[in-house]
Amino acid sequence: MSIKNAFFVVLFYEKQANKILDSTKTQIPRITLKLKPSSLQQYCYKHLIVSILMLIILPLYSAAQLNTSYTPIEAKGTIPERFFQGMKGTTEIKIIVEDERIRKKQSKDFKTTTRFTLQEIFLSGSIYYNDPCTQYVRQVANQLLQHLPESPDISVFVSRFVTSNAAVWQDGTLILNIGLLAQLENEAQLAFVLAHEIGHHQSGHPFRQYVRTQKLSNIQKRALDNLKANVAYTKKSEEEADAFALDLLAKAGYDTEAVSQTLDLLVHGRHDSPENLLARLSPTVVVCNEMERQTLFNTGENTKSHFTPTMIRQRQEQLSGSLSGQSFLVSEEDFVHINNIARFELIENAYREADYVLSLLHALLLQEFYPANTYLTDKIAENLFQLYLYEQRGQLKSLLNLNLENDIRLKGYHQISCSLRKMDEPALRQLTENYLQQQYQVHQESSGTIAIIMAKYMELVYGQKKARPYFENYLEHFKGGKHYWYAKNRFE
Amino acid sequence: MLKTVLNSKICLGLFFLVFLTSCRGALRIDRTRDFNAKKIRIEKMVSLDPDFELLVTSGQRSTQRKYKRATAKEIQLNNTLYRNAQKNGIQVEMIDTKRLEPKDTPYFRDLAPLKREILQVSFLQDFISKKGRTFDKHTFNRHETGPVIASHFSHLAKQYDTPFFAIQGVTSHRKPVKGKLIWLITVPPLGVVSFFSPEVDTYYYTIIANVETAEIVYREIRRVDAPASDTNLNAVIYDSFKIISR
Repeated sequence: MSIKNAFFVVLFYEKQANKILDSTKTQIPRITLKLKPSSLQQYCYKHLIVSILMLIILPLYSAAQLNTSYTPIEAKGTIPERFFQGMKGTTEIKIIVEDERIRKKQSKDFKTTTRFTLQEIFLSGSIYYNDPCTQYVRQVANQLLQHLPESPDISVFVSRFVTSNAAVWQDGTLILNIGLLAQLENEAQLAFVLAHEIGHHQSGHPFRQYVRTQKLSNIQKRALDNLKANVAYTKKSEEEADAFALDLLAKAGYDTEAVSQTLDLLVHGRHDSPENLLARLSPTVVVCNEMERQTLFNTGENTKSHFTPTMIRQRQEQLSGSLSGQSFLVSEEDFVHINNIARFELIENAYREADYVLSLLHALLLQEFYPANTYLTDKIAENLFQLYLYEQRGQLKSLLNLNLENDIRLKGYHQISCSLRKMDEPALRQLTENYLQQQYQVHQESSGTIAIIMAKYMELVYGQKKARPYFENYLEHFKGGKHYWYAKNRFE
Repeated sequence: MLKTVLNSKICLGLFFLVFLTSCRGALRIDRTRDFNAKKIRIEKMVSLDPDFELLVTSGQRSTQRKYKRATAKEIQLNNTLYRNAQKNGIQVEMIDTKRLEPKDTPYFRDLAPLKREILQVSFLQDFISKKGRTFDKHTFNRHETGPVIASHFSHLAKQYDTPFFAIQGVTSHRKPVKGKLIWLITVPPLGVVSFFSPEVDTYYYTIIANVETAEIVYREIRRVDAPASDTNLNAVIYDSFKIISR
């Protein structure tokens, strides 16, 4: 990049940054750059160079990279101040709906509980920071916030949680799960999710919900814990938030058809497959038919959920009329890129949460688009190994049952889960071994993950003696790798 | 005279009953066969953000007061852990999230995921014995293998100069207090005992993972039928470190 080009890029982002600051009416001072065209270093103001990297260079670089590999997002850079606020309570929590009947103590307790819950979430390592997903989602949120008469103090974060959900707290912290970001089809849908949560915040639903739970717990005599106060809102609250979101979407110029589309997505899921994707790995995989799948999994409606088809239909009917707007206001290209990153992150985080079926399903689905991506091959191998490990320890069935509590409605998920239940230990061993052997022959010197998984598998099934050459291979080719000291320990 | 003797006997009896109530508790330890073997000697371990949790039940005293008390108790717990580890010749490096600074990215990059992994695996997997049984009924159990964690944390052993990473904490909660009056009316002596017995259960837990072998090697849980006082915790933690350092 020449000095002249850099100059224009810096100016462009200065304008963009000030536009956002004006629209959000925050107290942050205006950005002014002192340009001295003596060297590139002097042009590049500290914060703007980060923005340039995040918004232009990294997406382009990463987009090209996704065809061959993917590196999961790790914590890097300075930790944001929000993570340390904790119980100090530097953020004002406004109780919007003050009911005279509600004792003062309840609002005081609510504030403490909110701060404590958020402190736990932020310090758990489940929230992304200095990452492209959060940057992009904040841009979309700003598009909406500028259309509110009194711009609320909303701070948007993206979490590593894989469930399709988002949540807002009364202090203005809005957390969008990566699982939901991966499911969305366009920017307008993302805007609807954010607007819906802003609607909850503006109507004071978190506090109302807290009071409701308090009343419930008094009846049940200490049966509920305060920390569990943020459970589902009432149907009325959801409809209020929907109506608020529809209005805000129309004001911002987004296509309001997104409301109905997003509600549909919440029921059916976007990325799904009616076929059993596990059968792609081996023709010998036991495939469940529709009857077996339905017998194993209760596909009936959960009456407590607001995402059941009936409830969603009712919510859709409440929202009459649709205005034509745009599906993308920030950038279509950025959305596609961020959505792809979110799908890769979903695979990574489902694996970390030990939901190996979900991780495997999305890895197999994404492999259709990126057949040469080595990260996906590695993840399929890791997931198969973990499933076999649990099977060998006699704990696979309990793991599968536990993950079903996540209320995942994807047919493909149920297909894989059903197959795994029907497979016995030798069948799963054969499937895992075949896939690992196949990948090991190709990637034993290029992929550290395949090399270490193969060594672990050999040790688990055939004992330490047979695994030695595989550990030796890892030590030889991946010196300094993350598994190096483990491999060395096993080898010795 | 008779009255005095009777009174003193009643007092003695009551004292004995009260004494008995203070002796209740439970302990369970699971460890791998290699743990505490002569070749392994724990000299240092990293304690990942020890936690003190006062389970708050709604409709009770002020929530804010309970959280403040839990925070104060957490500092006290950190000191007790540190002191007792030293007494048993173990160097403990405390990672306290309350003291994190903006530059402490390694916590979110490595340690928070490790803590999550240890807790998750400990919940999902059991220790496995030679005979294939996952559970022994003994208080001290030795097993062939422990729960398996991800091996990509092994580089932390060199970074922190020890492969042992621990999760320690205390949970304290009120017991249900139903039926005291019924006991007092129907069986008066036992009813009296129930009035003297503490209404709080305190649990102390330790999970130790070896990141080089990618395995949870030690897991213990202790229950004390008493509030989490400094004296109680001190005794429990000292005993815990004594077993770990053997």
